Amino acid sequence: MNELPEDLGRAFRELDAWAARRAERVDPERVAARVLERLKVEPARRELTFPIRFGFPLAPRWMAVAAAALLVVVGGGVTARILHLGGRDAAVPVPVVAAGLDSLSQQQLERVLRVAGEVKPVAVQSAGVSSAGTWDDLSEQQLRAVLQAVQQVQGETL
Amino acid sequence: MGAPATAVVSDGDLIAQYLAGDEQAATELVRRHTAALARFLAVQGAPDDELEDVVQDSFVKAFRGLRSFRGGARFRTWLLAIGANVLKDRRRLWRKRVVVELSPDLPDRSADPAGEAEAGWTAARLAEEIGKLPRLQRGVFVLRAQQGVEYGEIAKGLGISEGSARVHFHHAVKRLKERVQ
Repeated sequence: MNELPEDLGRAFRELDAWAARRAERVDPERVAARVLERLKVEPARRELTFPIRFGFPLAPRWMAVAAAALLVVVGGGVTARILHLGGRDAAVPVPVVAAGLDSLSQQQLERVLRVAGEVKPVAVQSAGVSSAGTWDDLSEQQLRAVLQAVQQVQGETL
Repeated sequence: MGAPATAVVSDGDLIAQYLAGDEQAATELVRRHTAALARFLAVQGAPDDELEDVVQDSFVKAFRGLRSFRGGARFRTWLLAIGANVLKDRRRLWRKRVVVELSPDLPDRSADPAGEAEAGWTAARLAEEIGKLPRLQRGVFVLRAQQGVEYGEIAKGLGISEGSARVHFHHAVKRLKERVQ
């Protein structure tokens, strides 16, 4: 195509011709038969979509992260309940995780999930977190401090 | 009177027929778009021995998501966008492998062996560099350069603005030109 500089265009045409020859080896009839078979045999997962902007199925990785975030919400509630039932004075109630996680990157969220999955019902007093608020009230720095404290405490109890 | 024109059923009609339970319509969609999809994936470095699997996965995902296909983009553009996502997921598994396998059957230009060697090398190098482009740059570049898709259509298929599609294409070309030469 003439939008490409001459050298790049020539190399691309060469590469595309090679790709076309490889594509010819893919038999549409065989693909169709296998696709139809898979649609019948494999359990149908509900494909989530961004309905307006994207219109194509979400990557499974995002679905996994979303599901994990839900687990954190539920797990946070359960953990808070366990801490309260334990009746420890030193225990700071762990609030339910909600919208405060929005500001975290995917990597940060995954770190939170890893830590949260390993949390034991012990005090996190050393983090200096107010027991009155929710995660929404915490800055990113405070949240990091909580996580570090959880990890520290966990390390001490092992 | 000439021979009666064969009515070509549109992709939209085939989709509607498939959703109504007609498997033949799905088969026809696969027949129509397999070559383009395979070529689209091959030029981005899908290994030879897994190319058909990636094509299959893309169609399976597309058919399962058909109810959400709103016709903003053409079916083929939408399918290629799904193919690009499937390839991206597979690419994670291939990281420790050589992604681009150099083909022994690049065109024979015996009249100009030096030129052939150079052209073959550049094409192979280009394939490698296309594989290293950021996902959107790669998608836009191949949709435009290989499939000849208009920027507006690319934008709909990839869920970006038309201006953004142009910028991605520009950056891809610039980067490839620098790396390949």
